[in-house]
Amino acid sequence: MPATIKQRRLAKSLLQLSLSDDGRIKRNSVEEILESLRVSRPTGLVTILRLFLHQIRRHEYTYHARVEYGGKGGEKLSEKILEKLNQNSSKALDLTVIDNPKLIAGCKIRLGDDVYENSISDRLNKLQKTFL
Amino acid sequence: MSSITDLIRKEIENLSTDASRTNVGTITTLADGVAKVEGLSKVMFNEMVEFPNNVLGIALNLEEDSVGCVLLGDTSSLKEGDEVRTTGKLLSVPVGKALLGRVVDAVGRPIDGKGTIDSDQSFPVERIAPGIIPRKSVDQPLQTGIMAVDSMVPIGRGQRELIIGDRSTGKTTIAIDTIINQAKINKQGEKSGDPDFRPVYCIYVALGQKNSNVARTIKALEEKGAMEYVTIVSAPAADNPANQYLAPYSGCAMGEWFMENGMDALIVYDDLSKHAVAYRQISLILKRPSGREAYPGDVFYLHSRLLERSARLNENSGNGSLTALPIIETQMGDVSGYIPTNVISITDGQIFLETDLFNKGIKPAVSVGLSVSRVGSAAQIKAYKKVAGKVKLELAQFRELAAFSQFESDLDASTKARLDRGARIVEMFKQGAYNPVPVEVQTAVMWGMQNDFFDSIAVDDITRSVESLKEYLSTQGKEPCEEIYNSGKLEESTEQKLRSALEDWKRTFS
Repeated sequence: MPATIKQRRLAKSLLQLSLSDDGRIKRNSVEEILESLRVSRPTGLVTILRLFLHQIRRHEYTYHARVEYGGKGGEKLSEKILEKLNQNSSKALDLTVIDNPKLIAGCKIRLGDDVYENSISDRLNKLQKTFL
Repeated sequence: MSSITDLIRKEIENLSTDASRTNVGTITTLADGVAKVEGLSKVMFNEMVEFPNNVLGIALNLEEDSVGCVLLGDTSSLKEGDEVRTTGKLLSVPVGKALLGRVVDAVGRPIDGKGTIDSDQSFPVERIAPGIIPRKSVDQPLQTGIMAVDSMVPIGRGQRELIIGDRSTGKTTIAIDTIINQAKINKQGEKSGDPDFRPVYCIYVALGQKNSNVARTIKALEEKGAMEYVTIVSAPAADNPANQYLAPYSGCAMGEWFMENGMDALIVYDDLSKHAVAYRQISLILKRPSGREAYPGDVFYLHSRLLERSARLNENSGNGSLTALPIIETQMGDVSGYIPTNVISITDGQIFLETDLFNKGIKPAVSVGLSVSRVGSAAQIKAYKKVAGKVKLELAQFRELAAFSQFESDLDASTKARLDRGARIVEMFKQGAYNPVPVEVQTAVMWGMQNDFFDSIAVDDITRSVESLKEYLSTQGKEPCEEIYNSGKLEESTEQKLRSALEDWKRTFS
């Protein structure tokens, strides 16, 4: 059954209650919310929990950067990248580094819905589009 | 070989080496040419978005948690979870003279197998219509070559004239005749070498039609040598509704290029009823609230923002124009339907085609009572205005009297004369498809009718006699016609020449 507007709004409110002052998700708050939901058992609890999980995941992406590297030496650069990203963000950010040989060389950073890319594969894709 | 490598090298050099920044999302649902996308938090309304495998889409619904996108192209390769990227661009189509003689799809890609379109300019599909200041009133005629239209419902450059009627009443034929006539006039004007001559370029938007019908139209235009002045934008019935929704806006953008560069253009939307249906389909899939006949609440705005883009610009804005001929199909002659009334209220008049007249063999089946042009005689040359001034009234009186005279056997002389004149005018207006008549010949024929040259000819013979006169005026008796063409006026001396030419013709006509 699709979620109702009321359930969506509730999930969003629960997310707001889970946040700490620095905008990150607080484990204790989430545990308290889950406990209260277990007790009150509102209608459509499963849907609400799914929506809540979805909101939490989406919010995590906003301060958890995922850096994909093609080639070698990615680990050395990760600290510099994190420093630069932190300069432009109001929240303290995390970083995960992944090797991605498909990029050939260069890197791709995803933070929230934004993707910053400077890789050989991206340039080749752009070149391919100019010939289509 | 070296030129190919140079070309690739040049492309590589031109490529930016800066890091790119895009906003991304993922497909959550995909159905009937519409995708719901989660993410895309920075997408703009009407922005072009990129799906995998070079499929493009447009962000039409910006909701709290998701974005509704209509997809353009083959969606069979897409699946749930695929990444979608913003492009930062509004949907644009190629514009310019390179499109003339070509058949393109809703996004301006060639579909005629004649290779790529060499156009270096593009215009966004959605644009704001010209405001009040750059506009000018419509005062230049746009000849359709159809006597019944040019005399009773004259169309001016920059006007929006609706062609409305039931199925199979000759709506498309009127539009195609008009396009063919523009090509004829363009060729004549270019041949004359007149520096003030302004050709009219045409755009024909085929919406929700059968591919065979579009092919037939292209063939007719090619046979009449009109294709070199025409661009066809095709979004056939087999295309997805998103393409059908976009095609009129794309065609309009192509026409606007001519208008904004000081040229004249004509655009035919064939037809907007199907456009409204395609938009309804998209809106229902996007779960927008539906209103009357399940159309969304902004269906009026759908057509008003399109038709308002047709205008006549003043000298300071380049003096260009874009004339629109939207077509609407009615059901059982009902002009009070939702979409017909909307479009009637937006346009500057309508040509209503009646099924009954069509079935009686009166073609074009223009209804005198319901057809109107709000521009009126301002869009007629002086000579034509002089001879066609009374014809609409005479024909309307004839239709009314003809209805009453069915119950009356004994008619007075004046009524009988009016009926006779009306019957002759009806016959005079009968005209075959794809055979437009030049305005000077129309003027001469109308002058002949006004000056009783056809009174002695039997009503059944009028059509034949008019054809014979047209032929005579384009061969032996072309001097008065040339004078009308050059001056645009009907001087006394021209009238005398016309009288002697018609007397001469009448002696030979049997």
